[in-house]
Amino acid sequence: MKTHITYLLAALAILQSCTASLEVAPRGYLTSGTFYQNETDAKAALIGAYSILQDVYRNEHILTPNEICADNAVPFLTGGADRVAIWRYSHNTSNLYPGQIWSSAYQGIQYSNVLIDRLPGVSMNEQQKHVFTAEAKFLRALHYFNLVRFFGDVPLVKNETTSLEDVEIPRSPVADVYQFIEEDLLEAAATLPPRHADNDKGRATSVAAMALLAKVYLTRAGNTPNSPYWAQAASKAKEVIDLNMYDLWEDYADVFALANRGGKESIFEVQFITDIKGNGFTTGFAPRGAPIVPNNGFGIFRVTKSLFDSYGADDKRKSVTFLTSYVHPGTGQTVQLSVDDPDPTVAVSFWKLADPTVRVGLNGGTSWPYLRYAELLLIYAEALNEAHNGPTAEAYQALNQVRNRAGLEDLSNLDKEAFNDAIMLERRLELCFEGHRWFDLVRRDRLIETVKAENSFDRNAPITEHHKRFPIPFREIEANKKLEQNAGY
Amino acid sequence: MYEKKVVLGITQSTLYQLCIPVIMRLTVILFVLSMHASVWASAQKITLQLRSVPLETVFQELTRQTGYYFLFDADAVTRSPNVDVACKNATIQEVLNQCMEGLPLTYTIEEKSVVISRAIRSKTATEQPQQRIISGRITNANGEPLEGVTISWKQSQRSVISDRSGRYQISAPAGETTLVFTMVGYIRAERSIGQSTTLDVILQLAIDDLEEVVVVGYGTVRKSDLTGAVATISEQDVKATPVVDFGRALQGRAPGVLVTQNAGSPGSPATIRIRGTGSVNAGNDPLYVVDGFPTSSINTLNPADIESIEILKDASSTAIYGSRGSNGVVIVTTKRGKAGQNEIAFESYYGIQRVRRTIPLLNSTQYAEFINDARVNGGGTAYFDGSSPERPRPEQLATHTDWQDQVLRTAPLQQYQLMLAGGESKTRYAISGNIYSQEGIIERSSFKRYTLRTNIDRELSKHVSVGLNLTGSMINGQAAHSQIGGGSNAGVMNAAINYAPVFPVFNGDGSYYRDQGPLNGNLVDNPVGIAREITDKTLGNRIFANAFADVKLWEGLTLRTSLGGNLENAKNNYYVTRNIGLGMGTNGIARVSANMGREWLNENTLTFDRAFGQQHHLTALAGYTVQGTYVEGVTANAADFIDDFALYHNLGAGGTLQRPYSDSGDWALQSYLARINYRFQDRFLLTLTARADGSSRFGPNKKYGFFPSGAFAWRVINESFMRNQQTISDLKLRVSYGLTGNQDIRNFGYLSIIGNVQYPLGGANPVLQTGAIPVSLSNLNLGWESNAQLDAGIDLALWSNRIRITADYYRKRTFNLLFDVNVPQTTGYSTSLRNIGEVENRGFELALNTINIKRDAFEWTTAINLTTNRNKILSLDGREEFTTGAGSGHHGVTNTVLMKVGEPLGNFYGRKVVGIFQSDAEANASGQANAQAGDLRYADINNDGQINDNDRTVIGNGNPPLFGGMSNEFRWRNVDLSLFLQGSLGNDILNFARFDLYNLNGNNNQSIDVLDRWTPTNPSQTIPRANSTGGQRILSSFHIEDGSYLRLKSIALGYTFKAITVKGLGIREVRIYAAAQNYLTFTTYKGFDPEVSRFGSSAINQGMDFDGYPNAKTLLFGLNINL
Repeated sequence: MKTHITYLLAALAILQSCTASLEVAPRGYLTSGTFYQNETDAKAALIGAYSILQDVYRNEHILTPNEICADNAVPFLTGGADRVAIWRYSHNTSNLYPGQIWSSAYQGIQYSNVLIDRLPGVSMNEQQKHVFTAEAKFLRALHYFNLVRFFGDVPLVKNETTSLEDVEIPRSPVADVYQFIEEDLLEAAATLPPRHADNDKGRATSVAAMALLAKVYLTRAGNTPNSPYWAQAASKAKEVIDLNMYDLWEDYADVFALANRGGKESIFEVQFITDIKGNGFTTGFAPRGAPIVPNNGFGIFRVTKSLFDSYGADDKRKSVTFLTSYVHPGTGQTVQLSVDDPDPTVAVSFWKLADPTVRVGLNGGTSWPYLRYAELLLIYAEALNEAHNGPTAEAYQALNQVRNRAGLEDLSNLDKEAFNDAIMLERRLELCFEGHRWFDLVRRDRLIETVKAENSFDRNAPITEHHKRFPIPFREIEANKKLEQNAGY
Repeated sequence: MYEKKVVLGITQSTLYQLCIPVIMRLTVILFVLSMHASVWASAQKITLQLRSVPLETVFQELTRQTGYYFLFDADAVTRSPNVDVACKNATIQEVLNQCMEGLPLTYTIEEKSVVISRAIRSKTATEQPQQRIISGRITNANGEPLEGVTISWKQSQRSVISDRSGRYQISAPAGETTLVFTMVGYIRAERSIGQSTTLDVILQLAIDDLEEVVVVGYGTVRKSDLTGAVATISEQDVKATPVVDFGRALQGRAPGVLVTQNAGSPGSPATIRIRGTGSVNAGNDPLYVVDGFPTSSINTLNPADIESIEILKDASSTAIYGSRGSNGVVIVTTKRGKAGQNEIAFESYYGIQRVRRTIPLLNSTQYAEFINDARVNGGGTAYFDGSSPERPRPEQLATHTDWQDQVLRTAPLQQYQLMLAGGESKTRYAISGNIYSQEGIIERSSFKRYTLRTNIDRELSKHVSVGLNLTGSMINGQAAHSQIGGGSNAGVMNAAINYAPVFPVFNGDGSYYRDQGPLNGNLVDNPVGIAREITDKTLGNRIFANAFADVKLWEGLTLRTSLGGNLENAKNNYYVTRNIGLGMGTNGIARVSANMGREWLNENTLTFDRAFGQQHHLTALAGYTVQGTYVEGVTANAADFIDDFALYHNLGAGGTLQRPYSDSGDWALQSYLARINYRFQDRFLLTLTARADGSSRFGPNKKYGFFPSGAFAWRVINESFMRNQQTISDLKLRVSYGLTGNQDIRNFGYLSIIGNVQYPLGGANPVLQTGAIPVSLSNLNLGWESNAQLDAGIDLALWSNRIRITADYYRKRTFNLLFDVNVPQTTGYSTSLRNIGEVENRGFELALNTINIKRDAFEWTTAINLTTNRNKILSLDGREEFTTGAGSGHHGVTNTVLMKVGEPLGNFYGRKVVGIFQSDAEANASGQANAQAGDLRYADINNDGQINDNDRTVIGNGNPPLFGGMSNEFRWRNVDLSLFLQGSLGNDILNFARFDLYNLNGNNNQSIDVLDRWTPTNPSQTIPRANSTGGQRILSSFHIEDGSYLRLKSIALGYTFKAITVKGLGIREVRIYAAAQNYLTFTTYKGFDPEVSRFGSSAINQGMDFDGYPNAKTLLFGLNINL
């Protein structure tokens, strides 16, 4: 019997010795319940909110629809079907492009909302808190501005989403979205410093908020002749110009030079680091298969003949903007590129954002020029022309400042319509490949005629009125019963 | 008095045995306990002079002089003091009497053997009635002696084992009248001893395996006592077709078990589904239990070590594994030593593999003509027009490269295994070493595995036995770069079917010919370069050990406690040289990653097993188990090397170091389990099971789950009304119902995790700053996915078990699905893991085993199994339907699958092709934008006159509604032949390769079928026109193919040489065989192989093929030697 008791005791001891705790916490991550305590956490959350800009601007989210859905570029025709579809205006509600614009914008909005809602509970310097909040609002406005221009009415999410309760939010009218954008930008303009220390360059400033506000007003004015927004746009742009903080680089090529990132022409830009956290502009837009970039060129899209030919012979921007030939590193021969030859390996390519130093594929370091001084001048000129029912001297001055840098002569003696045409052309030439063209055409109601006229490579896009808005992504319609699709899709 | 004995279960005699441990270690196989000396005098004279020697030395000397051999109780003999012996011309009895004088030993002499045993000194000894010795010989039906038969008394636990000549001796305790003879593979026999002292027995081979013991969770039951649905796969089945992978050993062998070989790459795992797919986002793989250790990874298990596989399917069987039982449980028992003679087995085979099928593509001339056609139809001019040396006219082409042929090869595979096993009644061992080596049929790929397994069992005492299972394994693999499409990262086979046949393999200088021009629209690289220039090695080490102790606490009450560990390390080394596109732009890419996992388990169970009178039998089990896992991983990358010399061995030499990654994770499971098996009169069987599991993976409110089940079986065969018939030899009806769970999701899925991201600040001199973003929404109510299953089954045997049928109907409802629910992206997130939705699987399973012919010289048996499974989504996350599903990056195809309430999982969703436009007029009238004559015509599903995404419909399903297997075994004298067929019916395959091979836009090479493309003069209704401006990739029925197939998986012919003696070395058996695998397949599928699954075990994305590693056909030659 004694033996049995011993065994039993031993067995019980073994039973007791092994217990596992079910309260296992992750070792590699923090959780949102315990984060957001101090200034370090808040700064990290702020950086997080900025980081989404790389997703939006290093890829094709904003860029590609603006260039190929207008008249600047032709996609690689046997490449990604969704890209070809938006070029041909045969896209459906499941198309990749509206999907990624939508999801990354709302991701960014959530990051901003998290920061805005959590900051009151963070123990840190109150002044810094206000700055962080204002930066988050600037970024939130930036995302909503993209959304409202692509989709029209969109759901307005103003607070952090913490649970899946009440997440089905209906679309708010465009006017409400703009009002929200305006509020955010006004607070940013009032709270943020005009500049940051050198090692903080890249963060939003009060000036960036003002400049963006100018652009928002310009967009709101639309194509309406007597809209009060023209004057507001002009006034905001003038405020920025009058600060005398910004100027144009002498040479157009300098605008995109790595050494000039965060330089005098840059009001707000999205930053990258070569080979480490870069963008795909170099490899992505080099001619297809061209062995002059890491991974060889993708030739995602090519330049339209109409854009290429729009530059005058004297226009200094042309050689900076395009790659027209290259020396094959293997054979040593010069490969001439063409805007006519359907062969994508010899297509003239966009080149102004290429990073000549990149070694690791799809990791160029050139900044994305979100809003630069040249555009501000053009905004000012356009707004003045409309607000004063014809070009003023200041309007001419702003436009000509941009033209002069390109080596072009001053314009003068134009009527309102001709001046506006000149602005539209100048925007196209100066700002092509910077994600503005489709927005501009929609804004000034020139989209349909322009797309119908751009018929290279048998495009024949069956564009109609409803194409001025992209479809709400199909998955969103499925996931949120309160969303209604844009008419026509 | 009688009553008392029954209740306590302890008779006077058993109590006596418990208190005096008389069964001790024997150094010789025979074991005798006897005081009865039947002395047979020997005339032989012995002369011996020894001083102070151990008794054993005396025995050895006696053996030398007389040839008598000694059987003795080692403990008793070795503990005796040294002895002196001095005698001349003495008899053996005289010598023994002299040296054992005064020692507590006695002896018996029978024929030429002397049995030394302990003289019982207790006072009761004289009161003991004289015990008889029963002896005899056990043979099989052919009169051959049977070694290793266990002979035991029906009531007491005393038992012996027969020797090599089939002989045994056992003493008869008082009151015992019946001997029981048992041996695996033979029918258990009971014989009354009557008045005789000899009892010879002939054991019959078990056609009938009802007496066989079946391993169930935490115990075993007689097959006849099973109440649940359990399929058994024997060692013979596993061996029938030599396979490297455990999963493939299951294929086609058991009803309800669908095994899909995802790809043909060496060492790649198969997907195993038991009774359909129930879960959407949590795992659908069964739980594997290897020698009692539940684990998720079986990839290092060596199939040759397997003794048997039991597949638990219904809720009653799986509920004992509670939260992990919902996808079925596969219990693997590895080989253990058996008491008896040492067994040495050498098994080997060598085989040659070749690709089963290559895809017929256009040759250079056909290709060039096609390209010209596409260019002209697209509004351009002919490409191959003779205008330059690179563009000769089609008939002038000099280069004809068959890229599939360039990257595929004939490759050997081989396996060598040596196993030693044996033991005696108290200690048993099995040791096996195995080397498996397979070269892949894609150039450079290979897989090697080395395993060493030891199983040891030891009875420490009458009450305590311990054991150890220990496996060490190593794998070395070189993976082929496959299943990735398009671009410089494209896989070998994707590149091989895309790359133009007009391209040469090499340039004049020996470098790879690379063409990224218009003939290579998908921008793939040189296939030979991809195969040769990418190093992707995996080195894995695993130690899997489980030690256990069984303690008999009381009669019928056993405690088992086990402690096990599973330690795994894997290292992956990757390097791409600068010779191909992938590594060219960056001057080489290197990546090294290392992962380690530690898994531990402690299980404690108490089992109570008792008969109460003649009518009732009860087995009860209670247990407590804890299991925990910890994993870590680290990855480092570098690029920009001066040259490719060092490969991945010197990351620091890279000019560009990339961000390293590391992570870790752990989870723990704590469980309480209980089971009762009750048997009444061998007629009614009842099983009740329950398990409560707590898992760290769930939210604080939902950690614990409770999983009960019940089963009832009626052995109709044992009813009195069945006695007077001969037709039915077994009949059992079963029904079970119960709950099981699923916890197979990511760790910490309920928490809102903060992820780290980087963003550069600083203008011209940017510096990366680390930021924090919330990457998931928290769900503190995240809990178990549950599964309610009903099973009704029948086991029927006819004509003395010549025909055996097992049929089951099941209905399995999975609810509270762990579902990555699509949430509005306006939240900032795309999905959130929630418990929502229900899926049902229903089906019939049939297993039919027949002995068609059984004569002495010729035997033919057949085993057939068939399964039908119907899957249905009962509810989703509130939506009626949505699209999801994997696509293929370079085709831009996404959302390939429709999830819809009322429909099955795995529905492919796309447009329906209804032919080809035969005229432009027809095309213009169709509402299909931009269509012309020769283009695919899609059905207007919603009849709105327009063709767009609203016209998508279900165009196929990746899961087979019917599948099964059939094996036929023939034996004629020493020749054996086995045929194994296996297949599926009614499933479809989404063949992504068709987006390349039938795109007709001149981007890449095409299927040979494209020769029959539409032209104005060839009004094809199946293949559209060539058109270089085509290339819209719209998923449609054009890309779906019937995946049904019937395959002669294996045919094997063997010859066995029996009992050969070579130079005194006795060889029991030598078997030589040849086997052909995958040589015959009936299918209309046009990809490499209908057995394919690009997305492995994904629930949603079944039946997708994406230029995976092609399947091989194999010719094998084997040699097995048993000593």
